[in-house]
Amino acid sequence: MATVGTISLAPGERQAVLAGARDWVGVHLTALVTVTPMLVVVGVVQGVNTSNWPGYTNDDPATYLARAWAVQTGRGAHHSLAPYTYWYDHVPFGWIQIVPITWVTHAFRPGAIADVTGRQIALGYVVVGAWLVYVVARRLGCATLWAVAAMGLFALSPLSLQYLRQMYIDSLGLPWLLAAFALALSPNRRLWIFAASGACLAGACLTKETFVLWLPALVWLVWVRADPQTRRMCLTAFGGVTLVLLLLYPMYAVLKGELVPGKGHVSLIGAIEWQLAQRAASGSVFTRGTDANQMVLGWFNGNRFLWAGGLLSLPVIMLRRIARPLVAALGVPVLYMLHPGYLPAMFIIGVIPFAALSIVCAADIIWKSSVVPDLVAGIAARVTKLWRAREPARHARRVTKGDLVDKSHYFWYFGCLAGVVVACTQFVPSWVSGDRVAMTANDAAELRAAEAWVEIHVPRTDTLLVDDNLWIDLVDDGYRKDNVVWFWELDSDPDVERRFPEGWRQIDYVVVTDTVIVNVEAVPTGIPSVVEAIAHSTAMASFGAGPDVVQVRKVGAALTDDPPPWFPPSDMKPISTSTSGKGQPA
Amino acid sequence: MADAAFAAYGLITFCLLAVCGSTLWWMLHAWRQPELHHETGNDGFSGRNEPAHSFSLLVPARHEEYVLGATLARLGALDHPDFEIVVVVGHDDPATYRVAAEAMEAAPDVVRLVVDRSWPKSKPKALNTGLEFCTKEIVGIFDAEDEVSLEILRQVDSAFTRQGADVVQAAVQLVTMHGRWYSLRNCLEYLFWFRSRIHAHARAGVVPLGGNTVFVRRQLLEDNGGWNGDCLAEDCEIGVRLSSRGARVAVSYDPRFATREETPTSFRAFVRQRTRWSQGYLQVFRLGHWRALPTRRQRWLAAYILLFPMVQGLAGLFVIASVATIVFVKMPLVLAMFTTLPAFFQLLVIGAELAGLAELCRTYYLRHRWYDYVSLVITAIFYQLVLAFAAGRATWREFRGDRGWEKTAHVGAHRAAVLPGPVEV
Repeated sequence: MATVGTISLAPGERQAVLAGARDWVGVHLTALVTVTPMLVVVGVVQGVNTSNWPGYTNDDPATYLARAWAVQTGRGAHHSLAPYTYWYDHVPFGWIQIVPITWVTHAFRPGAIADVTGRQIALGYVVVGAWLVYVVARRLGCATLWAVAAMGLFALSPLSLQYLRQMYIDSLGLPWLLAAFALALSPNRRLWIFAASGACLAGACLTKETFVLWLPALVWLVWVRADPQTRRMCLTAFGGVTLVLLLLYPMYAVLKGELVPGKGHVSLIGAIEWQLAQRAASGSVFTRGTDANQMVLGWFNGNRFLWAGGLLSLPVIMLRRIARPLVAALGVPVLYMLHPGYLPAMFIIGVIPFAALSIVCAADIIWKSSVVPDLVAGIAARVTKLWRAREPARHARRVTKGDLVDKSHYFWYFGCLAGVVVACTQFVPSWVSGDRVAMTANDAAELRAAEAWVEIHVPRTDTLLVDDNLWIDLVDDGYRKDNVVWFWELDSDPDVERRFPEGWRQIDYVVVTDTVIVNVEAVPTGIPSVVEAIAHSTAMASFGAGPDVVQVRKVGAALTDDPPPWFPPSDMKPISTSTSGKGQPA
Repeated sequence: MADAAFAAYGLITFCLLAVCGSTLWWMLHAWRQPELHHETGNDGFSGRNEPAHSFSLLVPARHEEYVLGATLARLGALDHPDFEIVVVVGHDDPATYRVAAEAMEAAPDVVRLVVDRSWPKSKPKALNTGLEFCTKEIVGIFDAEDEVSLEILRQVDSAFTRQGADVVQAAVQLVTMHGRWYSLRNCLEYLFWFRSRIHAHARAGVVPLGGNTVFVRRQLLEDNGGWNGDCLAEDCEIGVRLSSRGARVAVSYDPRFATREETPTSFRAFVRQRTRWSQGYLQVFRLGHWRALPTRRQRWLAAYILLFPMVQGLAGLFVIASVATIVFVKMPLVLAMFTTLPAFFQLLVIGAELAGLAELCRTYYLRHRWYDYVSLVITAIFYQLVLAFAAGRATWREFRGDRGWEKTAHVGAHRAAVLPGPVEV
């Protein structure tokens, strides 16, 4: 008896295991030596300096982490899906799925920085996502090298660094979506694999609701991929599992009695109405100056190559049957961008991998195409024949058509490679400079310094108005959960409003960070108490310089005479000086 | 107290999930992979050997004078060089006797008429009486109302040769989808049983045989003493008994050669048939031949299959009850979410049934309309309740020792329901 690890094996069995391992390595050797280095590159480029760039102008990732904190610690309100009332703004699977990670890594210990945790989790998701992009590309019929290129296109652009480094729920849902594609493309076309694909799609949609836009592409893919004999059942299994898992969400709302709007409680349908109808629309993409226009231009400028390449490759993709659903995977979201409603900036996250996949699929189709080289060889054969007829003496060595075909294919590959090199010259320099900034710049120093200042100077019993980037850290470090208020909640959460009937007057400190600045500038009427608190506060400590200075400000009774440099925002109405009740902008 | 109740409720839900999961798994067995779907569904394609066996076809008939004549005429026209038909008629049933006698006069070489004088009457007793008069190598059983494929014997003959089997179960399909409200679901049950589930059971080596279109080597039957005359599910009983004694059971499914049948003509008849089956399965379980199966896995599987009518009935009630509980009982949210899962599983089953309906109609050239799909969804709960009722009734009857044979009446509606033309290949 010999042993492998702790498993006892007979000698024959051991040989069989070793032979199996050798076979596996043999079959996957090319993949191993190409994918592994690429994953390392992705990990390094995405991972180095990830906690310092991009800056924290947005506290969404920290908000999701705070919700994971609520689920993990059970210290949240109302069955613990959020520290405050969970009001169905987003589906909850995003922060539920990271709870095992935060639990195992003990991420909410005193002294830990939640922002960094979020970036690290996002890094893991990007690496998994890059691997899945490779799998999908391979299963779409692409050669290994193209599939590896797809990983790079997906994860290495400055645009990808900017968005995928942040733990948005889109970043958390993306591997689920890619897994749904990879499973639907599984070569053995098993019923339960299609069902698993449906489960992954449901996982994606329960992480970020906008991923439902990829449903048409996946249905198309299952249709194309399934065997005609079992297609009906495969589609049923895929769709049934997706639907049933998605139904769990409204079921949750029903069980809590929060499905339909009513007095004194939040509701799922109310939240959907808000998302679809009431949320400030981003305007038309085609009108200069609207939010949507600015955002799409920003995405486009962030990575022109990916956009132009992805869209231009769609007609080529139609040449390969199995890859055609990519047209829907890229086309439907792009069409969605054109609709005039609310368009979140993170929406781009779901689009990036499919643009990359479209590009490499088109490249692979062109690379493997023999139409052009065969045509060239045919013409060359005609021409040589004519020449030979004219001057037979000069063409003693016979050139067969086969030689010409080989030669033209050789030139074709060469031409394709040259095309790739030319394309690379178009985007690689800007990627390199952009990535260098991402891997070196520190946009978070002021925030971290402000956080440290608060923990040293502000008593643990004081009441603070902060953004979520600081919220978890302060609570973990001993500030009372009920005394550290996320700045949005003071005006929108019935629970918080009950605790603070006097509104901003009960606040001791307000920490004015990038996130707070951005939101006060954008929607001052949505957070009037924050505006009032800032207007009645004096700076105790300032970090950084210029308009984006991060300040810890003490709230008092009188209007301040040293407002932050950006305050009040230019399009805001004057602050009221009334002394009764909760402050409201006049 | 409440905690204990919730824990028990969670446990029940877990068991329900297991039942629903196994049901769904077996239901979809044949669709798991394209290769498997092809392999299990096209036995007629696997090459046809020259006929090498002879057949005695047993046709027990009771009060079936309206359908028997046509059945016998069709059986007489089967495409096979060597077979006989043994019709078994009760001594108290002159009308059926007359029809059978006419058939015998028309084809005296092929049809033989046996009068069964046993009392009280039951199908297994009639079969045992008929078995004594069988002379050929293999005994096949058909019911008096069966619409048999003319090529069935050649296909089964090949299956015996190719698979070296002792028992061959060929396909049966109910085709009168539009008879009563339960007919559609009843037809689908047959589809999923013969198209899919029976193959999974055959793989595991535990096959409860069907009541007809089943073929057994005569020697094997005689060695084992024929059918159990007191059993209400004689088909299942003999299947389990023969399997436990090492007989090799093969399943041969090909929709082109499936025997077509009609669903019970009245709701009463349907409930009685279900009760008889459930009670029969319970009886077979109590007889305990399954304990002699060679592997533990097979024994567990056999026990589960035999108790399945009861389990299914209970599970159906619990799923319906769980939905009601969620609405009316205040319980922890996570538990409430968990208890909804079996109901969601039932949604998946209904989805599979919808796809199955489309496949059924395509394969058997049955006319269907869009509202069939609606009615399939609507009838789900009521059908489940009927199954539960039948299972309960069966358990009660078995408990009281009431084992009278409740016969299913037949009028031959399936003959009109079949469209002309060949089955799609």
